[in-house]
Amino acid sequence: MALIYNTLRNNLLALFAWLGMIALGVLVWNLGTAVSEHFRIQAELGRGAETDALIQLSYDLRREDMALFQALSGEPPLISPQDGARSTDAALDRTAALLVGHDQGGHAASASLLSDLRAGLDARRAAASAALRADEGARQAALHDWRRYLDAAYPDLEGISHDLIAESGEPAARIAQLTTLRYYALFAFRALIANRFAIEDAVRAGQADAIHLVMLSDSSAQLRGAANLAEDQFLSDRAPAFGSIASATDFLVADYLPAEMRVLEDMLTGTPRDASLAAWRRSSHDAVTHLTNAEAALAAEAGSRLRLAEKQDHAAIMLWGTAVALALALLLSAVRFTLHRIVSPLEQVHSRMLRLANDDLTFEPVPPTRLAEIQVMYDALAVFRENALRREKMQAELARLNDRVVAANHSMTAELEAAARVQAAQLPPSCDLPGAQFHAFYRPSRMIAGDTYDYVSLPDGRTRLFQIDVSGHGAAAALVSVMSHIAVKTALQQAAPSESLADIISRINREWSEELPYFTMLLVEIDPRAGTARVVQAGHPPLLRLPLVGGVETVGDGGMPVGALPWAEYEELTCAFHPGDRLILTTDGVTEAADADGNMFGDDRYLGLLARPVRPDVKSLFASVDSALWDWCGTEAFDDDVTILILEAKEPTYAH
Amino acid sequence: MPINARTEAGVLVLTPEDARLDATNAASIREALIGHIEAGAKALVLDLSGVRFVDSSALGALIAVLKRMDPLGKLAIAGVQPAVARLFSITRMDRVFAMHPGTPEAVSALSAG
Repeated sequence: MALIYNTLRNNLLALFAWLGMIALGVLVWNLGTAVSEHFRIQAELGRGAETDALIQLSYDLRREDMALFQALSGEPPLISPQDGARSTDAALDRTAALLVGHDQGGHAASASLLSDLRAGLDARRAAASAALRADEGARQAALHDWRRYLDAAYPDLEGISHDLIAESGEPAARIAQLTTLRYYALFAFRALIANRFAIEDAVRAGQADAIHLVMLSDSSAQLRGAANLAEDQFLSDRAPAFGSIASATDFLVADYLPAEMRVLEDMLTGTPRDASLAAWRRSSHDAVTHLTNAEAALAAEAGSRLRLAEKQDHAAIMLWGTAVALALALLLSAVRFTLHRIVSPLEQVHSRMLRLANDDLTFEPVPPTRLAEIQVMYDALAVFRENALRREKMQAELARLNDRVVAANHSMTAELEAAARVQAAQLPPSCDLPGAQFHAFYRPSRMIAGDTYDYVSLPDGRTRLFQIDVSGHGAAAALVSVMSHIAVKTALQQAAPSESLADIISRINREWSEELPYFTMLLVEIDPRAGTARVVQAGHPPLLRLPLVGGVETVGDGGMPVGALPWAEYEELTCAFHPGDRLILTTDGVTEAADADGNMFGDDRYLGLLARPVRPDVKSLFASVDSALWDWCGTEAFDDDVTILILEAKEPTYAH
Repeated sequence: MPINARTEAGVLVLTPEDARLDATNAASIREALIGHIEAGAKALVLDLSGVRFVDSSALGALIAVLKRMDPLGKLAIAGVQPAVARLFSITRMDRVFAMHPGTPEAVSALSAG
């Protein structure tokens, strides 16, 4: 993934990366310094070896030169010429080997010069060796040839030395003083040997003006200054090397130079005295030894300094290498610890919180941790999860309750439907009655109703019909309706045929429990044979009479409801009921049906529907009232039950 | 349902705020009126001048209140509107309750009697 999200993990890793890079950078820089120092020291060692070899070659060649000179001159030599040749050859071999190893092909000319030198030296050594056994003349000739050859060889050798010095640059700082001292010592040594030959030549020639002296006193003064400087500089470590160069310098100044001066002074006045010459030769001899020893001590000191530095550098490399490795291990373990103990637990909390936010509660609780803050988060997460689980449980409970409510509603609806069927079973259908036709229009506002009706036919051809409206709606009203239905019907069945309707209602009224709501009722008795009808109005809308001839009459102007006041009295009215007359009983659900603004349908509209010029049949009359009420209310269910009962007197039929 | 109550000449005049008294508020009307009676009100005028409709449930509540009244207590109804008057007349309750065209008449009748 190319995107780097700004997460805790990435931030911590970046922090570690920065800190680690800084720490490692410092340590690696130190290590690098130590390592590069190592290579520098190695280079210095290499260069030191070359310097050693060249200086050694200079010394060895001059010592052989002097030894041969002494041998051929009949003097006891410094060293045997054979030893000198061996030393020179070893130095030549070493130098040649270094020149070859130093740079492939770069010093081919120097190398060939050295091998020429070797060959030239060998030839003259052989000649000198042969001359030693020959006469004085042959010895002088061999010595002359040798001297001439070496006088030419020395500048070549110095040329090679200069090339190498120029190539290797500045001497290494840590041995710069030592190197300077060595060069001064070498210079003094060369001067010593050169003076020796110059003075010997002059003594042999007997001419003082032929002396071509090298300024040995100057070089010895330089040597002294450098030795003093080095001694001052290296006061802390008074190495033996400084002692030997100091004593060599002291010898040159105190012994050799005065001896040389005496010889030279002698030569200015004539021939040098033998004593002076012997002292000078002895002193020269000793000076060679002194300087050779000093060079050996200085070379050893330089070598040991470089080796010491190398040793110290190796220790530094080890130290910094270990430090880098330790820092790397420490950094990695810190990263691992942080990721394992902090970041990973936080990510676990994070992922669980995301799942929690998605209402996924299936995750396992996180294992305990030792970090207090993260443990607090874990605890909080556990509490969240607990809460979510509880909420889920509550929601499930709620859903279960809802299901139960729905089920209860279903069962209640079923029960209401059953109750409605029971109630409807109480209601007689439209039918023929003796001398009249009975028509019923019944529409409860809910499944069960407060409206009810029924009739009881008497054996003498009269029929008593009642219509009841219980105040209120719903189950309670329906129960009361059923009760009132039973009460009234039972009263009618038990009443004597001669008992007046008013008396019957009064009795029902008295017996009606005061705990129950009252109801309104119309009780109508038709006597088709007599052509009359009687009616008691008990709080109910009045009976309507529609004569065959047309028009609408209201029969009665009121009466107390049943069950409202125990002392109520009722009035019984009589009206005509001739064939074709219609008596209409209506509950207030018709006239009090309200539109959306609460306006009632009202008596006038109802009467207008009933008293049309052309009398409609009962069926279409019911239909027109129904549709008018629908139009008026404009709602699905009526607020109140609607019941319309019609009794229509038939033409008399006569029993046969 | 809130019923405003005020006393005029020692007569407690109660005015329902609703324009319809029906099954939805019949019980609270009954409770309110019975509360006043039990608090010691002897003469009550129910001002129905703002009521457009009373159904049988509300009428039943008024009848129940009437039954609860002390034999010496008086309950008058004032200012009934035509539709309400019709209900009272059909049920003959206009003969049970003392009906007055307006509150002043009802108050003076009750305070005089």
